[in-house]
Amino acid sequence: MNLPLDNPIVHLLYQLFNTPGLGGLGVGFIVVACLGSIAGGLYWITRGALDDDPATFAYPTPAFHDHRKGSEPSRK
Amino acid sequence: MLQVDPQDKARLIDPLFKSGPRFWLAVLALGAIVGWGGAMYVRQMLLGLSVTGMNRPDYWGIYIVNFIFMIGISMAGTLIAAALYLTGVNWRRPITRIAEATTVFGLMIAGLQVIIDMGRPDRMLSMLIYGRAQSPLLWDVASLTMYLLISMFALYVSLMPDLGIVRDNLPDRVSGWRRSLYTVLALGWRGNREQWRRLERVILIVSILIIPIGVSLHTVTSWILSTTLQPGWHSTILGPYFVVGAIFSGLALLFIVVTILREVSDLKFYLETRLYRRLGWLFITMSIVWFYFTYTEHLTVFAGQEAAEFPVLASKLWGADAPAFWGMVILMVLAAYLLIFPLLLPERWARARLFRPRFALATAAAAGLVLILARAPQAQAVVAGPTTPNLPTALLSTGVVLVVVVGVSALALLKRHIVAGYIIASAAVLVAMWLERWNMIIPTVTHPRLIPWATYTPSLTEWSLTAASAALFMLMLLVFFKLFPPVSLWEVAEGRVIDEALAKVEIPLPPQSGQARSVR
Amino acid sequence: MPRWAMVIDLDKCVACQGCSIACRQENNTPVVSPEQAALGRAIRWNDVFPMPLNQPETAGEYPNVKLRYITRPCMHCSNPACIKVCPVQATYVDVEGLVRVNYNRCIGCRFCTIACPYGVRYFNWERPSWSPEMARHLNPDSVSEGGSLEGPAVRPKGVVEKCTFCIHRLRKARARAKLEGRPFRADEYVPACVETCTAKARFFGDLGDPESTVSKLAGSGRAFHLEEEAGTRPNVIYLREG
Repeated sequence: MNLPLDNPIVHLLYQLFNTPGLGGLGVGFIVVACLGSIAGGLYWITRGALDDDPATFAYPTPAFHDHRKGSEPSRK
Repeated sequence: MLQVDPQDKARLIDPLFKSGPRFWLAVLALGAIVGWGGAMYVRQMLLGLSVTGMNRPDYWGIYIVNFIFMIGISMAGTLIAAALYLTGVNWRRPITRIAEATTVFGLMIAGLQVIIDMGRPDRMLSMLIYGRAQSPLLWDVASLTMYLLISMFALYVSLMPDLGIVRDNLPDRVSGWRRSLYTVLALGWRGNREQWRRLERVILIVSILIIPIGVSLHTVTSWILSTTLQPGWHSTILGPYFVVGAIFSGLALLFIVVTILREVSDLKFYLETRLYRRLGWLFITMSIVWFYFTYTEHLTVFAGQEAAEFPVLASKLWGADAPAFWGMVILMVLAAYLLIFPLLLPERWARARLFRPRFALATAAAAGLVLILARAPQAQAVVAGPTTPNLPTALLSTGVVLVVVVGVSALALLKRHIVAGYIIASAAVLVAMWLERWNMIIPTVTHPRLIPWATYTPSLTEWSLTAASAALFMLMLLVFFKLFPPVSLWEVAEGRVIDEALAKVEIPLPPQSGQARSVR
Repeated sequence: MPRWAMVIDLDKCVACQGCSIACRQENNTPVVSPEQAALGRAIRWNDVFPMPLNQPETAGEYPNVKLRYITRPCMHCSNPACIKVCPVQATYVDVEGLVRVNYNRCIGCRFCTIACPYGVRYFNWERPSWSPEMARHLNPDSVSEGGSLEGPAVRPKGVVEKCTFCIHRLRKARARAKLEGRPFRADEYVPACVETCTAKARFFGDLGDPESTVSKLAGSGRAFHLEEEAGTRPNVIYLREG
């Protein structure tokens, strides 16, 4: 019976990825990636307020997606 | 200055700033339970895990049961909100905030369970400093962290417009810290078109991503069990089984939280009964799928009867874990009955005398009486043969028949009071899913190959910490729904506009072919 | 590098439990109260128990009862199920084939105790304690390499422990050989259980050396492993009763 670790490629991958600390680095990478995306997303959204458009809306409607500026009759 | 409909303001914003005695009583009671749990945990830290009921071979007990249970119930929230968002239905709008909040807080409590279970919680950070990629526990840590962070993001992003609305519509006498809370958290939300465009884009991307992340979380949790060699665990079905169980129990929790908010916070205007009917279809589907998976999982073991595997199943069927297993099955059957059968009752029959509440009540009382009599000790027969009439068995059979009649006659009642039926079914499902997690862990760990079989009785510490975790979950939800609107104002308002617009549209008949019968 | 293995001849074993007692004395195994022992929390690195363990009906009917006693240390498997699941590498297999536990790094998650199909791992549910007389006679040996804490070192509560094939004796034997300026021979060290066995039923040595006792006995027709189907390739070889 051949065990997975007898295979040289598997053994190499095992040595590479199974060092203690690398798993923690992986989790750390995931955390950093998530937090980075979150920060990036929030930054992008808040920067959207810098637009010159004076009209603000409490809630959206599907009419927004027609991209016809000035078609909204009143400021909500 | 974002303007809001005065009805929405009265229903959703003003109550945030009015705390009655019921609120503080609830906070006090839940806080007391959490405090008791904290004290028991400190005691556990000082004395070691010997204060639990765990032993050898039963190294994992209800802390791990709670862990898997809490991950399960929290998986469904954001997953359902995201999936329903992608399908574009309108009736999902009032429940998105509740779903996302239960997910975020449920995951936090789930992570707490693992820390409670550790023998050396002071070495918690070792999991990261020395973390090994091969260990399924580390995969679970990674997956849980990812799902928690993205769920928190989803919750926050869909909360931002509401924070803007609350910030601009505060009642007059509001304390300074609360005013600045909303101002700071709103991150300068203005609500112009560009911002809305960007927000909706982000919500779309998060909703798409969160579904595979959510599914992966519970699959990875199941791999903690299925990658070991233990009987009952080394099975490929655990991955999908856990995911199905998670969605099922998560929906049950959602129904319960929605019902509580309906009654306590007077939100019937938003959380209508049609919500129960619509979401109920998914609930019923998951119930059927759950039965399918449970049967499949146990059929192979029952048919194969391997020396190491079968004792685990035997324990569930007629051994020490039989009460947990059959309790789970009975509760699930009850839930499925409460969900499905009222729908099958035709309207015309509902008026029959059989279905009057008085009849159901009278039959229930009779059934109770008969079953009590059946358990009373009977005089032993001198000569007992197969044809000797047996009073206890006759009484038991009559009792069972009467219970069935109660079930049938209660159908009309359930059909009218859909919320009551759903909350009973959801409570049954939650308890049954907790028992299912018990049946997943305890029979296997108590029936190993080369250690004498043992029984497991959770100790006071374990029950206290379970209660404290549940109380902490409820407390976090309570405080969250007191600080922020429980129903998403902007989504509900958008839905209202869409509904009104659709009501005005008259959809024409399709073009006719053949002879017209009447002239329109 | 030697590949350590143990051979246990069940034909000679009388189940006197001398091995278990020697092990607990050698390795500072904590004592638990009778209530804790009733819960099954007693720690026995080397355990002596009857087989069949859990299904007595398979033992046969009187007078043809087929019951035998197994003495079981850690198997020190070549493909251990336990080390794969440890999230912090508190347990690992070294170059000599010993599966080791580092008490300084264990976080007490008990995943390894669950994963082991032989049940050789034990958990410290409370702080280890001994009666005053026993506490005065603890084994002062311990193995500490690069911040780890292994072997007979007194364990804190909340960590996992198991049989180490008396690694402290191995370290001492190697150190003695180095001091005397000669190469280390594999037959210079035996674990406490092997040394104590009253029936001389236990053998220990280097499985990589074809001339060693264990290699020759392992080739016997009576040789078998426990739980062979688990695929863990244990390094404790049993010789069934002849």
